[in-house]
Amino acid sequence: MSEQDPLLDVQGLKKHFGGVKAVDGLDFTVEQNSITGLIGPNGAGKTTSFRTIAGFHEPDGGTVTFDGQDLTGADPATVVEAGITRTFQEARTFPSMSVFENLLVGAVGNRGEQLIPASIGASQYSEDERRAIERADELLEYTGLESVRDQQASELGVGERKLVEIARALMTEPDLILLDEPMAGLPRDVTQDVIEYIQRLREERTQTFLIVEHDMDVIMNICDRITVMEAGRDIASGTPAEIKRDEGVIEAYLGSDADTGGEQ
Amino acid sequence: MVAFDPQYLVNGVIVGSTIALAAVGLTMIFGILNFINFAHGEYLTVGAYAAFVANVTLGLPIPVALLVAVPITAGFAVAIDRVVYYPLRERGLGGVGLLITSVGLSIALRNTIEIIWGSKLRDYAVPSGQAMTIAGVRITALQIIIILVAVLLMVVVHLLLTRTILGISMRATSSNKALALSSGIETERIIRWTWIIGISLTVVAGVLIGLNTSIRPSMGFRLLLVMFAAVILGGIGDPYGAMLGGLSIGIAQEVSVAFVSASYKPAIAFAIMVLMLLWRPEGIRGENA
Repeated sequence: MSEQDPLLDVQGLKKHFGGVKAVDGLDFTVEQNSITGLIGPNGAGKTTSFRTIAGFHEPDGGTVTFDGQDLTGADPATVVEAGITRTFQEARTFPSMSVFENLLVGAVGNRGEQLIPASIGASQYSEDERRAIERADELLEYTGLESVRDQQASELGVGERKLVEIARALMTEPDLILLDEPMAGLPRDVTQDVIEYIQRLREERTQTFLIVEHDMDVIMNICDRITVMEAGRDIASGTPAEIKRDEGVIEAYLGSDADTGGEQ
Repeated sequence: MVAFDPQYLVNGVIVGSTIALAAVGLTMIFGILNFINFAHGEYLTVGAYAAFVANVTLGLPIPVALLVAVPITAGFAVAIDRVVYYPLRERGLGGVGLLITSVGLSIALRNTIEIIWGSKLRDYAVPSGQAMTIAGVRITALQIIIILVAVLLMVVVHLLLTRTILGISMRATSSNKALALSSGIETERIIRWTWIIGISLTVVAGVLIGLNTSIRPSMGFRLLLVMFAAVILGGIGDPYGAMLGGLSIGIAQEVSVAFVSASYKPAIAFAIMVLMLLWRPEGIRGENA
């Protein structure tokens, strides 16, 4: 793959629910090591696009190409295996599991077929498990979560749970992380922490992000490139500065309620 | 009435520990597949008869017969899943549809067993042994072994769920399927392992119950209500709750014999289940399931 090829290339993506054309011919790309934003008014089809790329919906048309590999219509496990993982809007964790265990769940996809050794001999960890444990502890240290390592996820505040969710996503060793409204429901000061966290991951770990977010300040501040969706298709792509000046975008946003609430 | 006889309590622990094993199997399958497997009792019966064939027909010692019956019945459960439940899951049939399917499966399996082996009571070729008296309680060596095997398996389940990545993946899938999927867990593989582990525990329960009493084609079906009660008592989908629930129901049933006729045993389980659903539908362990 050449230097110029995008990491993720979505062409003509369609997802219809009965008569509702939630996504109807979406084209956009995500460059290596970028933070790319996907924005648009309510009901523009952003979350549906996310779900379709992540393998939760079967697309009705178009292609999803990731790192040269065709992922159109792949199931979620295959998508994760290929290197894409996602987070959810509401800081989803496994509440009755410890923070450490939450992270280990993310290691499962990488460990191939060796489930049997895992079930024999309680302290006799397999090589895969040992590596997963080391990686989990390393990520806990990196994210500053080591002090809550053995606490149940349900005991954490929403900001910490969001960090746990992103750390769990990192455990799958992704090339691309899809963040679905990462700032939704977060207090202002925590938002700043999460922004810094995402930027650090991009700088220090050459991580690539695709973000759906309603908070325009966050999007304009953090993204290298932005694709704007309206009625299931892309209406503009460019740098934050270009997007701010784009007539079509301004019209799309003024013509609807731009910054109220989330999309279903 | 004279002072309470600890014999009832010990009987309750024996019965309760076997119910607990089968209930853990039932609740795990519910947690992962999200449907109530009405045929769970029949898997217990199939396992008990598989061990019967190995033990009585083929003349193998009972521990070996058990080791033969476990993989055969677990394999049978995985095969049924592939042929019956998997195609229905893929078509998006929900919990109710799968439940009705399992009712049909339950009837078919129970009658097939009855056609092959007849409806009369059968016993394993194991001497029940002299009961000994410990601190005023009569117990046989076999019953001590039953309790020990059940306790050992509970510890194994605990270690599996907390110390292995398979166990953690199972808990994750049970807790939130979408999040587990986006963490790269292949749900179908977890489903397969859940059948294997859940049914293996249930088969051991069936053989232990057969050793303590006898086996017959309706044994599993008769236990189904009790297992449901244990699962609900413990909080649906929570293996630790099911252990606790099974033990509690077993003890409640056996201790009730001191006060009411033994024929009311199923009514005791049913009453506990109804009261629990009214009082705390999330189970004794609460929301941390």
